[in-house]
Amino acid sequence: MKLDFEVSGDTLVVRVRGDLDLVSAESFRREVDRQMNERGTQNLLVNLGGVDFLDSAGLGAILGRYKRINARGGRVAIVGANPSIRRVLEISGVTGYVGLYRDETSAVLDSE
Amino acid sequence: MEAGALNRMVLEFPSRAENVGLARIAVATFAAQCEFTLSDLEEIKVVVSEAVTNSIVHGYGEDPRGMIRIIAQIFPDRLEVTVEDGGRGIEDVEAAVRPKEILPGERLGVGFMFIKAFTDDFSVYSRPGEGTRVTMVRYVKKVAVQSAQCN
Repeated sequence: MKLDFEVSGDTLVVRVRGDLDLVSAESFRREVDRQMNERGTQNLLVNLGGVDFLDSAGLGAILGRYKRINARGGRVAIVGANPSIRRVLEISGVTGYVGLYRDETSAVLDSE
Repeated sequence: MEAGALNRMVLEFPSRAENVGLARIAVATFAAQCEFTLSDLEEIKVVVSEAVTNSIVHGYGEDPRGMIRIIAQIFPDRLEVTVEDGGRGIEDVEAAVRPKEILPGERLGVGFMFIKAFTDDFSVYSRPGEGTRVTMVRYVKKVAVQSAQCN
């Protein structure tokens, strides 16, 4: 798994490539938390456009960030999920907490 | 090989997170002998990943000395995948597989939710201190492999 970060206003954008599962969940947690702290951003936008596989361990890494960010009044959104990953997100109930958007532009516009 | 099975695969590996990807790719590659759609194969990857992750995290408490065994078999009408460990087992299987509302956190406890959603049938056998065996079934319309190839 590879992570690319970019700051857009008050939002940290993380673009994920590869699989998000038990083996990569820990580095996702560590890296995203570090970037959020260092850059002082309030919201998190997770771009899963480069992710081919996501399971409950990967979902835990995302929802764990949601818990921390939500407690500080921030928001989390997911964009770019392919149909298989979208199905995993919907079945799990994650979409009750985290907004799902087609791409980064629509997510950013919606949060304004 | 179990009576009626056309093909069989056995995979054994230590309880390490790095092996979750190996397990799901190996089973999905094996399952591709059946006429599953790409979407079916993605769902098979998810259920294997969930069962193996459960063994690593809950069965062995992430202790890499534990071993996990996968037995995958193709029958004329279905794929059967068994994931077994010799870990600490599940005290209350019924409670473990019961649907639950997802709550934000690092560990969601929804592995069996995916197994239930993405299989046609599954069973869990577990005894505390003796390990857990999860068997998952996915039916296929048609199996490409010929029985003669497996004899």
